[in-house]
Amino acid sequence: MDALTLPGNLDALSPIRDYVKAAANTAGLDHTATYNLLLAVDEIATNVVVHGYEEAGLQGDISIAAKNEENRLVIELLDHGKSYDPNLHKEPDDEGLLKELSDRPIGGLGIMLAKDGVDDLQYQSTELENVHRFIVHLKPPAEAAKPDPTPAVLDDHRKLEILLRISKSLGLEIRLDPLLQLIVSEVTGAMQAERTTLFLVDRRKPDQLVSRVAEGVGAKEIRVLFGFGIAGTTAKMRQTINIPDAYNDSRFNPVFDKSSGFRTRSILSMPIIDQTGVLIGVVQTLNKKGGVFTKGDEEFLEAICVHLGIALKRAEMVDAYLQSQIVTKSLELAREIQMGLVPKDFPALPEFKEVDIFATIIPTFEVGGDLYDFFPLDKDRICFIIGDVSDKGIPAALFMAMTRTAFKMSAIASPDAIGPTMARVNQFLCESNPQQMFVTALAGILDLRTGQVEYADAGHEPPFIVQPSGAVVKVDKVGGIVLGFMPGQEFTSGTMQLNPGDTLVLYTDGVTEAMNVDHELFGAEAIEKTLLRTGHTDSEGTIKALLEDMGSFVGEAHQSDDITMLVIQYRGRGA
Amino acid sequence: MALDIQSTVNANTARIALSGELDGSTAPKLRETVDKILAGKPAQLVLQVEKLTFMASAGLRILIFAKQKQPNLKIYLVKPQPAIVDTLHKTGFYDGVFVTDAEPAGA
Repeated sequence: MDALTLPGNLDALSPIRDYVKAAANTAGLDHTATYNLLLAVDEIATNVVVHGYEEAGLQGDISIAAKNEENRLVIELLDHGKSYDPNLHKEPDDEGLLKELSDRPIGGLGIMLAKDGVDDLQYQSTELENVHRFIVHLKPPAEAAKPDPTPAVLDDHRKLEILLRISKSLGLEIRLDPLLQLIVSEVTGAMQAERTTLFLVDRRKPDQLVSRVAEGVGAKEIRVLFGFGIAGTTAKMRQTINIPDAYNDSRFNPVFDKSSGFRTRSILSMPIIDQTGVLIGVVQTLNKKGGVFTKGDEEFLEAICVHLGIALKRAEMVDAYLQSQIVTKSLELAREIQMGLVPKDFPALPEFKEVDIFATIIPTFEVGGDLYDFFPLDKDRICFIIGDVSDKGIPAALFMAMTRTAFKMSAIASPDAIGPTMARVNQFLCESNPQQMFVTALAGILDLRTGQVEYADAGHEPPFIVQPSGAVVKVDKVGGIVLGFMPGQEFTSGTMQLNPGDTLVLYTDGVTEAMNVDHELFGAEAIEKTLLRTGHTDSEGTIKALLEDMGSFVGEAHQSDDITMLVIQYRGRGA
Repeated sequence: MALDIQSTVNANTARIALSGELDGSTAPKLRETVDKILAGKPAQLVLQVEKLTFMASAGLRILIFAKQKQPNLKIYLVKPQPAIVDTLHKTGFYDGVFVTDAEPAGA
């Protein structure tokens, strides 16, 4: 119908109603539906005139247009007044409606009648205009839901249209949960059914189906074992099951009906299989309106299932990716915290001219179990440690943090000997180690006056000393068991002498066990070779040379362990 | 279609016969009539609405207005059309008025 435009005042109401009456008549609405629509449009038009124009001190037109769409009548009411969104307006609640007339709040009644009078009332306000859209389904759902003696038959053209729309809307939704909702409502609509349930194969228990979306049962999860019930049988046999009368089928389990109050009549249950032939889930649609599911329905649902398979597979991948992103993010955070625990500022200890210290940690899984630390005990002595927790990831990082803290506190509390310090750390770790982790470590106290190092070894790699001449010496192991393994263990210390210019090179097994693509290890010999080639240089230069050689050895291979190095060059007092 | 209003007062009963459509544009005139009638403090207000073909919420507001002005007033709606009865039900007004098929006894 051609649109009708009138001045926006109360005199417009009557002609607007006449227009709506004619439109409703053309669309074939019955008397009640027509009156309800009239009332709805009238109430909103009244609001537009009173609140949108008159009270706002504005003047303008009000236009009405009717559109007879496929199975609905749409009335559009346009105005240019102050925006007045009926959907934001509070309706009188039940309490308000039960009040004595004289106590009634006056507002909201019109809006309530307007919303009540149509199937949908939409509102849109732009800078140009305000649009109210009144939608009336020409075959109200309440009526369609009643059993109809003749089953609804869709022609091929209509089916193709629906299929195209489903494929398009599924294509737009990549997140799993909204996709599941969408599938359920699309299938219910396309199959002219009353309800649809979607089961997915549980990735953790691949012999179980779990329903994430079922209309009418709320958020309740339904779990079905393969082989049980209709859905479980569909999954197990990977075959479509079409049941005209559920209560006459022994596989049907009426327990869900009992708990939901729903009465299942006919069932069409179909496996969803992806392109590679893997079962993703089962779609089950219930109660064909006006009859039972036909062979044609089966074929149609089969065509829909192809799209479901693709969309579900993709959404599962997207969800898995997003999950891994969350894990990665928390690992990154953990790494930041862990890296905050080890000294990272170089040159380190600038007030101690006797030493030049440099260190690096390259963790594998963002957070690693390696550690190093160094700190002065007094003006003449510096304590250091390098260690490697037997595991990787967050548990190892927590154990590393514990070890580092226990070591530092213990060393500062009794700074005179490294052996007893290691024994105390060992005891502490043994007492708080539910996961049976352990730490290899080498720790020492360097006397800045003499260059003498008292060191203790808890199963760690032996360090090297690079002399000013370029000669490389491997430090003797003094022997000692890893930390956190055996309570009550004592640690015997050894001593080594650093002469001015000597460079002590400490490392973890991430260096020696760095692997190339042929699974060959870098090894202690390669460290020695690099140190010999590089000769005397400062602590940072030593580490750089080692990293470079390791890098060219490893090549394209993946880093398999944390890589940590601590290099201390003794310059002598008065350097 | 406009609203036609005919009112008479007889002893303690006020009668208003309505025909046509009661909407936002015609309600003010009815409200004026009701206001005038209530000045005489009738015990009951009888609205003869058989020929009222449309009633928007503006009509409901007049019922509220009358009740607020005179809380003990009995309001009768005589022979309302089914659609209007429906509106009364939906909004809960049905319980606040007397819907009858005939003039109340004693009126």
